[in-house]
Amino acid sequence: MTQAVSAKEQMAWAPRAGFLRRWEQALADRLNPLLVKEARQGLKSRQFAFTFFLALVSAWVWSLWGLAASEFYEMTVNQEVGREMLMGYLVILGVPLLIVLPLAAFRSMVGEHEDGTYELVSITGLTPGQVVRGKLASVLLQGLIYFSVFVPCVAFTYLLGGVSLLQIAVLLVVGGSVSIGLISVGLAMAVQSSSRHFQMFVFVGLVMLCMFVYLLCMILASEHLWWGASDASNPEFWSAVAWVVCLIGCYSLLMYSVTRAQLIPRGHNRSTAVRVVMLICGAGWVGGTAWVVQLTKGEYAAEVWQLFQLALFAHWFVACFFILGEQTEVTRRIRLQAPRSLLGKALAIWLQPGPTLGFFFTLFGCAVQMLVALLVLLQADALRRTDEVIAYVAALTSYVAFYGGMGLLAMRLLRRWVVPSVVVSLVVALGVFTLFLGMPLMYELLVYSVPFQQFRWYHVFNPVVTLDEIDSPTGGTWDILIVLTPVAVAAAGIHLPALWREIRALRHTIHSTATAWPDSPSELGSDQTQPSHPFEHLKSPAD
Amino acid sequence: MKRSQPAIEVYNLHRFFGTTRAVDDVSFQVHPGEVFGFIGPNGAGKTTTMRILATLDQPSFGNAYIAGFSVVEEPEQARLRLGFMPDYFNTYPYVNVWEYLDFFARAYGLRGARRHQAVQEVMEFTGLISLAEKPTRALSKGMKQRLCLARALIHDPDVLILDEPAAGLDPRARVELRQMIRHLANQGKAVLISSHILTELGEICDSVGIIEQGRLKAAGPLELIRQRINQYSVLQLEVLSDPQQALGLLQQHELVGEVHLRNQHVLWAQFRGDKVQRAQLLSYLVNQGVKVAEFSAQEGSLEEVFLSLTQGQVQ
Ligand SMILES: Nc1ncnc2c1ncn2[C@@H]1O[C@H](COP(=O)(O)OP(=O)(O)OP(=O)(O)O)[C@@H](O)[C@H]1O
Ligand SMILES: [Mg+2]
Repeated sequence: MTQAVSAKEQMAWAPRAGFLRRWEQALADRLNPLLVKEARQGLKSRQFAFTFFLALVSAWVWSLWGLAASEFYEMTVNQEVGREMLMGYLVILGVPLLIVLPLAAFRSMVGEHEDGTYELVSITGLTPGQVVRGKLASVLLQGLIYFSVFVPCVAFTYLLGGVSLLQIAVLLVVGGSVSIGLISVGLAMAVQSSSRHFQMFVFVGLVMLCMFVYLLCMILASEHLWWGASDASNPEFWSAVAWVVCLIGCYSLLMYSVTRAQLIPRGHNRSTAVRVVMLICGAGWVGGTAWVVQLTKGEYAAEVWQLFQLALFAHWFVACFFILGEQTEVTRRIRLQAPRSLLGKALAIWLQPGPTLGFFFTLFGCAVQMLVALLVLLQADALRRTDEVIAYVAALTSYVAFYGGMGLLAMRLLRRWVVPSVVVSLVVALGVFTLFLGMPLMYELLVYSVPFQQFRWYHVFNPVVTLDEIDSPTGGTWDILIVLTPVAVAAAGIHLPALWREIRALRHTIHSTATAWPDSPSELGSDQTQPSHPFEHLKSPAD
Repeated sequence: MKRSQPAIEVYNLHRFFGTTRAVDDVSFQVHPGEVFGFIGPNGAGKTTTMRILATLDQPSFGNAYIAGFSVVEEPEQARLRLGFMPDYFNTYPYVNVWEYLDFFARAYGLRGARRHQAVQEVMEFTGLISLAEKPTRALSKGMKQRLCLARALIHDPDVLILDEPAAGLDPRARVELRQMIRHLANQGKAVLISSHILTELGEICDSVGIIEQGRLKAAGPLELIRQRINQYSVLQLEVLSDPQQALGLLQQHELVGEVHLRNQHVLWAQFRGDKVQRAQLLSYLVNQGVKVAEFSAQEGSLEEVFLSLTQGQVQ
């Protein structure tokens, strides 16, 4: 058992004393344990060493080549060189920041589950939030190391001239936030399903997304470097940059909360935090609307407003379909944490777990935020046709209600056989779209061979057609709404009984320590509360 | 909701996988300082029960408490009071023994000097000091088990849940493990241990639970279970006096069942009773003038108990 330990052996591992070491220990004590572990691991890992080495060599090669070229063309130190050099560094730095790191984050999270190491971590004192933050921080640390290598290079381009410090700062800040956004997307995707096939599929998707964003960023960066010299003096440019960074921040936060929610065990409240962040992201779009209206002083207000409304609509629409897959069971734990005060009940009840509550949450969230955006627009007095924008809001909200309601119906059916997940949500979305968008299109192709020639009643479900119709001055706006709105109200209305049941289940208090966990899929659909079981009498008399 | 007394309480635990009843109405308790052996054939539901207790899985029905905290409703509290050693060993690449333990110490919220002390202590206890710098991937099976135990002990939990800790260990390592577990129990920890190696459990367990097809066939102190199963122990007597006299006396005794005359001097008798009653029987025979040369009782081994309780049905 306890073995005699020689002093020498103890020395072998005992922390070496010394001021620096102690200071480092004190700092490391406060750090996220996962960050410390990953840092220790990461420094020894081959992937990091390889990428780092490659990035370093590329940077050196590019520097030397750039200098040689400038010598060759006898351009001495002129403006073009600094700009081209910077673009080159961005192209190199972008690869680790926008492609390697998000994929590394994904792999690291997936690996934790695949290797079975996460189980043991999950039963320590670490919270799901700490786990996600630890993963995020350890990937960001790698990013910081890449960054620090490029700082001298970038400073060097500044000395060559042709770029301002502000331009460099903007590029790095925007690039850094896009990188954080992609990393959080990678983390969120990694925890959605443990199925190998799904993960392979998602990995390919993530690679494509990263490549696309990388290309987009490079194009925007070169645009800015070559044509945006005057941007810096333009306050609109700065507010646009600030808004984009804010929005990326909001959605990174959403991805973080989604990842964290997936790590929270079943039967605990996974919903509230995610829903609050959904509201924040929506508010980001409303803020964008206000900003654009301010900026354009009413010139293109309606058009830009439409664009932002569409974004807001897309936000809530997607949110709705993900919320449909929430757990139905209301456990004692969830019940205990449900709001008790009247005001709390009225407001926070919509943030409580449950698919029907979630559906109505997205519906109200969407409607309220669209109305706020509309008020901003009306307040700025920037409208040509008031009825048009009101119809727009009504139509978009109706689509959330209609498709959400149909999706919820389909999901309730599917729950009999499968446990909901992101994949199931996607299948439901696909099914609903096929039914209401694909089938009419097919029908039209078969009968008239050219689609969308003329507005027909079954186009009412197709937002692309109806919104276009609402836009056009001759459009039958009210004809559309007369059909669409009642249908949407009905689609939402059929869920009112389920909504009532979910709210009631939250109120219900059972004086029992028993908690039921419906497990066979057939049990999942049922809304009945499990009977309480008198375990108390089984306790030993010692209690 | 802090409760006193038992460190592990399991009430009417159920866990269904589709139609498989992996755990079917299991209830038992383990007190501080007690080693509870969980015995059952393959697929009996041992791992499933232990994973629920370790808050890694959730019961379909029923509840369990670790140091008074429900694993269903207050898993955060329960986790801090339990150390779990699963039947697999997974580790991170590029991490050495010290770093591995240090990570878990941090994860359990140990800071500064306390953390160093905790890591040092568990490494000493499990004899890993000399391997501190060795990569975890490169450890032998026995050393991995030690590391696993060290990890489970790092936050000094009240409850230890060990899933087949002795599997794959050589005899010496087994003895050492047994000593470690005994030592931990003496410190007041409640230990729940599952194993196929029944004789081993017999030596270190205070109580056992025998589980098959998710159902607990018997649970309680080892002695009680033995008695319940083997109501009769077999007495073997060698008498130098008249065997017929001994036969007659035995047959009249209320605690003795069937009696056989094996050969001229040796008798076999089924006896129901404890050691004291056995001693009384012996003195009674001697007082009656029977010359007893040998008197021995063969109790059912744990192996026999196990086999008599389970039918070897595997789900
Ligand atoms: N995740 C799962 N999905 C479906 N069935 C499972 C799952 N985990 C366990 N089972 C089933 O539950 C039953 C009990 O399994 P468990 O692993 O608890 O047995 P065990 O007593 O630990 O067996 P062993 O001695 O072989 O380790 C088995 O029939 C098994 O097939
Ligand atoms: Mg097992």
